[in-house]
Amino acid sequence: MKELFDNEDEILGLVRKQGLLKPSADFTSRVMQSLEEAKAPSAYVPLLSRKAWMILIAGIVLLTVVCWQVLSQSAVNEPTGLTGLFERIGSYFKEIDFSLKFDANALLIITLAIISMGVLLSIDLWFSNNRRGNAI
Amino acid sequence: MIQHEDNQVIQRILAGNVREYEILVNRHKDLAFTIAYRLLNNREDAEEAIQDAFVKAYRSLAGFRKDSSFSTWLYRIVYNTAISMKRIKKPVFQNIDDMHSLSEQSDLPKYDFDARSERNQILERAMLRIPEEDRVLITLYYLNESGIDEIHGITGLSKSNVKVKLFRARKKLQELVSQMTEKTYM
Repeated sequence: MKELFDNEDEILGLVRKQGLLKPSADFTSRVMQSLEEAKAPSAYVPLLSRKAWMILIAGIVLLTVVCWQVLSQSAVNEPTGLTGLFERIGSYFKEIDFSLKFDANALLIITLAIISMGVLLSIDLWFSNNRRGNAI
Repeated sequence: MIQHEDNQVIQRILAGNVREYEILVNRHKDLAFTIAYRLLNNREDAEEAIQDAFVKAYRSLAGFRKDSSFSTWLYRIVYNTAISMKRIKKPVFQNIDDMHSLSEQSDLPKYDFDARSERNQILERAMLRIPEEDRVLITLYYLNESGIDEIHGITGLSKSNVKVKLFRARKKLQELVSQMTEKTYM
């Protein structure tokens, strides 16, 4: 008997011959039964569609272009900082003469809302990808 | 091939054919059970752990990204579930009935029954004296013939650590089996 264990290959052979263990006969049916109580899985549906992301990105790009244009047209002695920026953006839109009146405050709110939405959606997307990646 | 078949079954489950999950359970339950048993040393706990793992996998099926095979993903869930259960439960000693049923599962010819039983018992006793994690590595490497990459994917150990642990576990198992054989037959 001893020689059966005299080299490693025979031990490996024994490990293989021992084979896999088997759970009880009704195991599969018990799992399937417990699945009935579990929520059915469904394919992942993103919060925003690809089209919505494109529109959002286009909006942000447009806003950036407008800001850049306004900044590049500003005179040297105009007020600086955020207040100055929004004043300039406000006056830029006034010059274009929208039918709807935009003042600096309204523009500020719209800008902040778009940026906030973008940031929140990016965070949501990042978390959702991360959660799926580290499932269980 | 099996990976491709698994992916097709998953697509059908996600499309609403929930009963198809039975195919995946039947295909992977034996190795899942062996992994859990090697960590928990108890049939009931091992069954509970893999049942829990199969339900968890089912719930997260939509989030399964096909950058690894379904089996690797599932066995990782099994491994983590069994590890968590082990932390919660107190240590359990090997059940003699489990050892007996284990020895009965070998497919050696009947005339070799006694020899088979003796060998399996010695091997099983030796397995119980190596760390649980090493038992899983031995099982995956020799029984499932998993590669280092797959073992790394299942256990979360680094590839170099898998190699080192596997080498040590093989050596330790060999020493233990030799010692036990000498004690038994001298």
